[in-house]
Amino acid sequence: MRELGQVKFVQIQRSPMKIFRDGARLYDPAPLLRVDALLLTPDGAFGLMADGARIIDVHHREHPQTRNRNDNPLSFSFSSHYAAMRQRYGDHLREGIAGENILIEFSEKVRPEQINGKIMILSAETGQPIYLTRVIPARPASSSVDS
Amino acid sequence: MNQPAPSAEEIKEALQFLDNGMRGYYAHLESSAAIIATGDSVMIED
Repeated sequence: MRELGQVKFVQIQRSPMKIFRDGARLYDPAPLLRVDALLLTPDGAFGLMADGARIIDVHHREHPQTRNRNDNPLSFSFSSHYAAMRQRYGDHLREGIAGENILIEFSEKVRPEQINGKIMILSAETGQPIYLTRVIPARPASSSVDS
Repeated sequence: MNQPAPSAEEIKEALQFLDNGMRGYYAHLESSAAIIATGDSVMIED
């Protein structure tokens, strides 16, 4: 294995970000919340706060408004991808605005064939290796209901 | 003021740009539970 980068921040999405208002479909990033740590489970993620609070992510299977489609309990992206999207679409595309749970600091685009379906996260606190598998590219969000 | 709707070609280019991982990745946890935080290392196979 070789190191690709480090986790820059972790976050959860507390509720759907695609909303309807006055007949228009809007994207509201207000439900995003950066958290102190992320509890990963096979059903999705919980945000962990320093005060002990545990907050469920909208892609967790048990969230009352779940956006879990079986293929998307967890998500991650890279700072390099956001840099490319900002260059093309503008500075409003701040890192993590699409709602990924894990933002990884890295300087280059990461292609699916590099990931090859699996990444490993090495916990700095415990040294525990954590494997994320069945990794697939997220689809462009224009027609999906996953956010 | 409303912006003009994008053309089919513009939409196609945008979808191609955002595809293939640019929009991020979905994943599953292989184990029963784990905690991660800022500063953890991310590795891929050589």
